[in-house]
Amino acid sequence: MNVKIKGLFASLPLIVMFSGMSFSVSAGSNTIVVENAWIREAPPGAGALAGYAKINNTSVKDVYLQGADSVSFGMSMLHMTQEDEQHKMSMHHMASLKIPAKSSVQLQPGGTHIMLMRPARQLKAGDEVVIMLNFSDGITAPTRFTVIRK
Amino acid sequence: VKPGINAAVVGGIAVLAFGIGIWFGLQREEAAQSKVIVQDSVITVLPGPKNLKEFSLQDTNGKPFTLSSLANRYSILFFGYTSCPDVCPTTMMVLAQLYKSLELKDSARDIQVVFVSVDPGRDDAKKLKKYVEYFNKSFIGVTGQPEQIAALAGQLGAAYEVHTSGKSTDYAVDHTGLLFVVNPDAAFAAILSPPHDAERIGSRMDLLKKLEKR
Repeated sequence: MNVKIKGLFASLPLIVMFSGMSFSVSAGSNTIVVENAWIREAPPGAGALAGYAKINNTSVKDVYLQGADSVSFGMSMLHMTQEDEQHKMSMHHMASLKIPAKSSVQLQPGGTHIMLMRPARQLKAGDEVVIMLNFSDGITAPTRFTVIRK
Repeated sequence: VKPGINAAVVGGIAVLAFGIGIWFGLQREEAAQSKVIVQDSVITVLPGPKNLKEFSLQDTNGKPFTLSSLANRYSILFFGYTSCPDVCPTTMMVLAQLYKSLELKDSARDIQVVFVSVDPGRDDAKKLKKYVEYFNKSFIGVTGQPEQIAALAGQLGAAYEVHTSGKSTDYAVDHTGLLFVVNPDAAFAAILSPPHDAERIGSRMDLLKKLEKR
């Protein structure tokens, strides 16, 4: 993770800001602000969790969330839960999620989420983990997700 | 996973699809006869409770969970799997909220929450016990052989599909987001539709009790 952050700083003119629950990363005219990033606390031994957040694109250019990775999980993937007319739920991998210019997209329960498989340790409410959100144009936003029981 | 198991699951789904078709057909027929059907975005009360046939599952203490386990109180059944990252924990948290409010009203004994794992390949009794008890100590986790699970799911129209791939333990399971309500006579009485909300479910359960004059 550290290597990646260093690489990012070296390759892009970035302004990185932490502000309470939100986190923003700017590169040129692209600015992504991630708010209320949270992971639902999972029952003991559960091998799969989900991360949710509101992703704001304050720039005038569309950006695409293309994936995620984190040392805290064996696998992190952008997924979407789809519900058919009979209420059958299925999960699908998303190669890319568009965050339109001057707009925001909510990752939320029952919808688009970051599927987090095989946690490195049991996560408890109040814990924080960093997940790298990988966007188009080579932007990587290291985002702090808070574990919440709700 | 044995080919036979896949066949059983596929067979189960076929039966379920057929069951759902019949059920929607019945609903329309009943509507045409202007009988009272209670249905809103949260609950669909079946035109008449449907008696369930015997089935044989096991709870997380290794005890049989059969038709008689559904008698004498309302049961809310959810079909899911513990490796489910989004829908299952979201639904179970709603049921945990519902149950907490019932406990505060001292009416928790009227309703039992049953989580049926449709993924016996990964969900053994120990894992399932930890999982359901995390949400509420009173919640019941049950599972069994694929054909045993299909025998109950088929009667309720609970569709699911296990996407196993070789020996990998990372696989997804499609499953219904509906909750199934069985009444104290162990008869299938109603369906609760997602997105679920504890307060709304609580009010509809009260309504169902009134409708059934209990």
